[in-house]
Amino acid sequence: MSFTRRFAAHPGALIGLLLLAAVLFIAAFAGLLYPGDPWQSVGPPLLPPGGDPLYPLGTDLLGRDIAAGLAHGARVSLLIGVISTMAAVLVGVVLGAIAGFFGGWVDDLLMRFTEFFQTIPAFAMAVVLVAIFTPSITSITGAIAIVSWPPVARLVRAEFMSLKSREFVQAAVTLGQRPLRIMFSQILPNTMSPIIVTASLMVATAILTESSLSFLGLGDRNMMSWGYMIGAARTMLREAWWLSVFPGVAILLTVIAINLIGEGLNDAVNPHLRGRKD
Amino acid sequence: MSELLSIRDLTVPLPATADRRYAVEGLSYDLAMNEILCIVGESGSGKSMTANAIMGLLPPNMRPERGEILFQGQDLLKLSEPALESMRGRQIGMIFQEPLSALNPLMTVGDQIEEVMLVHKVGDAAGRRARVLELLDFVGLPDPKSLRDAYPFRLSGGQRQRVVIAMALALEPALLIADEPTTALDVTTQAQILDLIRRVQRDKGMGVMFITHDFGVVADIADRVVVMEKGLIVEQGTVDQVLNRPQHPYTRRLIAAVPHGEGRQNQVAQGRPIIETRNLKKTYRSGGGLFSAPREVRALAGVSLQLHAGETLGIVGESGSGKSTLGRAIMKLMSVDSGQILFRGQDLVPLSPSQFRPMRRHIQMVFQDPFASLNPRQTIGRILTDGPVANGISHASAAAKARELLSMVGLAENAFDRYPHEFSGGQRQRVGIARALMLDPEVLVADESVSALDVSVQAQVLQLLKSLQERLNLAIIFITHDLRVAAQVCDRIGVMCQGELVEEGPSAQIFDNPTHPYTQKLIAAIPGRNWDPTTSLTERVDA
Amino acid sequence: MLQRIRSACAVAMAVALSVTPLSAQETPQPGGALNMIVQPEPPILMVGLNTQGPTLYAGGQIYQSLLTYGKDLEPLPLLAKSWDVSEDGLTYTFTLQDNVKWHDGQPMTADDVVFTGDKFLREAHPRWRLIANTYVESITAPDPQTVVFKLSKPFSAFIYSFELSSFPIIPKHIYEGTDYRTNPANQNPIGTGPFMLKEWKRGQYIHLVKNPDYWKPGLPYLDELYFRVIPDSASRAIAFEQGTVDILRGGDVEGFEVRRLTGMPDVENSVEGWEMYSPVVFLEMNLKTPPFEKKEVRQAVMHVLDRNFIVQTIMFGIGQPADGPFAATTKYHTDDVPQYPYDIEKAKELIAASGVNPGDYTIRLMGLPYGSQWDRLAEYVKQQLEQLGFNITIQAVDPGGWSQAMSDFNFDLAFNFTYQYGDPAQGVARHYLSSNIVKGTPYGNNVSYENPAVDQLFAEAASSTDPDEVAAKYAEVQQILVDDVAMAWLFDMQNVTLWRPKVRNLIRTGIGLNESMDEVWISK
Repeated sequence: MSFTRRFAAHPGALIGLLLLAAVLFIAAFAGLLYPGDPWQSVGPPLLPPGGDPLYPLGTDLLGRDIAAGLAHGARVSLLIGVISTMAAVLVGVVLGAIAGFFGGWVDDLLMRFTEFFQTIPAFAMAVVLVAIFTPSITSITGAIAIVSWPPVARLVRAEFMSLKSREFVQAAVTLGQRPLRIMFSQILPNTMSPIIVTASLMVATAILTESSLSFLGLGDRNMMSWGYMIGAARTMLREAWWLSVFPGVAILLTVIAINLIGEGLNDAVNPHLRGRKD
Repeated sequence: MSELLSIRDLTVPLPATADRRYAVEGLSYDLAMNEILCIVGESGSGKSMTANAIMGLLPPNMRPERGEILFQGQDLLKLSEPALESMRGRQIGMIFQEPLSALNPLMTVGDQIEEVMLVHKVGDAAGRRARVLELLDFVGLPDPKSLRDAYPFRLSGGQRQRVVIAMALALEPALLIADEPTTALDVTTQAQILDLIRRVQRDKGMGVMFITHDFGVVADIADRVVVMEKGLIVEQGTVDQVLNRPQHPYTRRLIAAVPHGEGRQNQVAQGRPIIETRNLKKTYRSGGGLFSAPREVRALAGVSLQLHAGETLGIVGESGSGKSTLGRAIMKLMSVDSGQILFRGQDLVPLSPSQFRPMRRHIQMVFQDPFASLNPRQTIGRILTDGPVANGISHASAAAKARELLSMVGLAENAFDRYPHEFSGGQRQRVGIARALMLDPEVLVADESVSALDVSVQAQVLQLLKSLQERLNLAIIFITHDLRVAAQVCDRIGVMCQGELVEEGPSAQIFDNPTHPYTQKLIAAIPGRNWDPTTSLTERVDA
Repeated sequence: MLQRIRSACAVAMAVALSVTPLSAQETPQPGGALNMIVQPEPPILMVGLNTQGPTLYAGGQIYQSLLTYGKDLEPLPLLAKSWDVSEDGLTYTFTLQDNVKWHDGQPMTADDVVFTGDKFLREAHPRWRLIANTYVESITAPDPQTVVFKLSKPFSAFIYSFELSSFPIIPKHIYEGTDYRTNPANQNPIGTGPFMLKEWKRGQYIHLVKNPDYWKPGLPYLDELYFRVIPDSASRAIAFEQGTVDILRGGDVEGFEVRRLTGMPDVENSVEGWEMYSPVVFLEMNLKTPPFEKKEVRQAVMHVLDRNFIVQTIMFGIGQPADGPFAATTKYHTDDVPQYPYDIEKAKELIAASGVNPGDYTIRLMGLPYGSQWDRLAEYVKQQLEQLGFNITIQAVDPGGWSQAMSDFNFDLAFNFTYQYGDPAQGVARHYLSSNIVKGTPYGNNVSYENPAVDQLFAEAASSTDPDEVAAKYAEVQQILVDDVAMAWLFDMQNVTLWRPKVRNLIRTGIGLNESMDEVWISK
């Protein structure tokens, strides 16, 4: 079965894909759907959902539209999630490739360096980094990337180590290809599948981390994000449940969607794990 | 009813996505008591399918459509699972190809043999333990008392296979099914196991179904033979009938492809050797710490040889002999501890990787595993042109040469744009050869290049190598464990044992007059030594 | 003349108050323990060295000062049973109470007061130091019961300098000649108050017990006080609901919780007890940051902030919109000042008139790091200013960072609130005097406002001995400041105190819960 058919055979993955597509659509067209600034007070404060058809999800303490906040927040959350993951994957791939391919003292050095990062609890370190560099979109993205790259590096290193001894890599050596070229044109394309699966799951984690940081008050004060909305609503859980429930559901659905897609990708690229009969 | 086993019209369909409709179709043959029946075929012929069907080990989506398997009068296909369970092990024993995966790594050998008896509730504890020792002795394992408490990973391949045979024999079944039991073993070990099976069959009067692809093995132990191709029986009869007077074209083709053990007509070596190794040494060190000495394995213990242009030198040995290490050392895929490798007189050993890189084009390698030696994510064209491009040749001229080589190795030109997974094993090996030739090398190292191929495909690839060598005046180092192949294609043969080159000489001489005891043992262990495949053929059938 | 009458009244009231318990309707029942919350946990209880809220709350039961102040801001006797001000306003004579003992048994005398004013607070207390160095010529003790302050020039607000946080009396025999900050008595405070420190379990509670030798006979009614440490705001609300604590001081829980709790049965509430402090919340516009040096821009800011909305929505109705620098409960407050109603169009006109293009500037707005209401306030202000075309970025800071930035004048826009201490000369003038444009504290003239007219008016008001003249000067200075929009005043901060009805007599003076709780009792 081809890759797409294997992926499509996983019903959860299809649901995830649909959900994520919806989120992406809303994020992309937030400016059209909800023009203007989500920070603007547009209605009476603390309007419950259903109270006014103009504001189906209600308004918050300052009269801001919850739905607009969700739409614009989608952009921030997705942006941070994707960019921090890309940065983490880049760093992880480079370090893991070098460690796995060259082995020896280079591997030892890089792995000790990686372990140093892995022994510090990821979220605590992110909090510290963001607090030190004052919260902003750059520092949050950077902090998440810094705490996320070690698992990628280990994965890539393991893949490189196992692929390095494969015959087609040895063939490349005998043909006279240079090590750097072998690493990136022979080995790396064969490691893309597990990297992609890992990266997709990392995006979900990054979104959660960003939400947690914003919830704790360490978010960028100038960007409306889902985590920020929940944090602002934390004190009003009893009075105004809709302030925290809707952004919470948004985060939940996005993270579930990404996880489902990740699972589908995993099954699609590792068919032998499902007992394929040939 | 002297028939122990009767298969009648057995038909097992394959899932819809497979390339043919039936795994096996209309199979009918008999196995009498007290005889060895060999089922011969290439990969994909369905020969293992019958064995699985008999044991009830077919996967759930492949159920027999029709047919009967009559064992001692009972149709096994109609039996319930509990009934089959009690039959397995007690009436029918099975041994598989890979002993390491057939044994539980976490249980001692003695426990596993005992388990067979436990499951069938035979005997009491003391009786079982005694029987274990008896069996271990029967299959020829040394010191049964201490071996009983050993774990599988401590035993050699041959010893493990003996344990598996002991397990199969524990309850004295009437039928023994052996599915390629010696394919993964060294040739000397293979000879011993074949001996054992013959002895067991004689002593116990069992019926043995022996599945194999190797005609030499068939010649050695079979009483009767069944030949299968693509799920159908094409020929069956006594071993004399099938091997010496094959009727079906497929059988004739298979037998023609069997490498015959006669020495080749030699080329006389002329001039200066193109490759020469002097006293190459390499030792692997592993383990070792504060409290234990490191384990040392001598892979090369001072190997010296010479190779001339246009000549094929065979390096033959069993696993662990160091032949692969030698090949990789010559390719500088591996470093050596001491010694010299001279290419046209220049010592390659002290060269650094970047110094050696421009010289790589002169010495190329064809690898063993056709499925692992091509990058699955690259087109054939890319695989072929990578070499020249890495050496500074323009992509356009490399592509032109690639197409040329593709037709030279017998592949269609449109293979250039296709991916490895679209090709068979033999075709991939041709690509491997083409890749090696892209750089116009002077020396080719073929590291077990045909070992993973079916015998008919193997013959074609060997033929290809030979014609290429004649055309291009290549010097070839042919590394293999199969003496018969070496005898067919090599001018000279070197025999390696535990890192040493114990004997070297023209291949005819090695075969007819081996001087070193190890070489003699090796030659004596070749299966089917006494059968000459060429006697059956009135004409050679070209591949 | 008027002074004499006033001091006579004071004596009369003092006599009356020191003998008769305040609420004559019910009979107080002695005994019982009162549970309160102190948050965050104070570093020390020595109010002479630390005047932060939590220290004053718990330490205020241990230490006392010469005077206290009623809800109407009238001075009331405490350790001083009577006082006299000379006609020229240069001599203040205090007569101390009889039989006052320190918690270690030593008698409190006028020497302690002299030591406090002359040595201890002059070194350790910035506000007293400023007053003492500017106005006080000498402090003497002619006899053990009498203290005389001689001023070099009249200071109309001088009588307001003797509240608990401004002038706590320190035991001379413990602190004289020692390093004040490392004196072990800081951990075991010795005061004259109705309660003594029994045990302090860090992270859990501060336990005070009745002072058996308290100088008011028969008091205090309560046996013990527990100040519980509960770091989480939601837990504090729950503690009150469950009865673990009996009192919630203003600031213990957030505004919406207050609103919810006041609606519950069996809960008393009041905004009284803060009159002496009367904090006002204002938006400081750094006059060194363009374009805020332009008056029209500042006036536009006042017009674009809807102070009613802020109080009603963001502060949950707790507060009073402010119109000027003086809180409504501070002396000499006047409503007769220029008004700045919420009017966006007017604001835009002013911006246009100023010739400034707000879009040219990126302004940093520093929020107060005290909780979610302040976050909402910052967001609201940002949003409103953006309607005028400004680019505002909100800076996130922690209390230390806020204090640092303010002290260094390193801000564009920032929120702040300060206590006013009854008389404008005590707590208001410091923000507008050009002599107070000094880095090093967040509570001075951090916007660099300079107006010689204002300086002169404050000086004259402070040094006048004629109450009518004082009122007139302060009225005029308010008008100038409001017209100039020296700051954008937002609202008078109100703090709601919540307590269980069984607690009687809780808020009696203008300093509310900081007051000695000697007359507080629990009805069983």
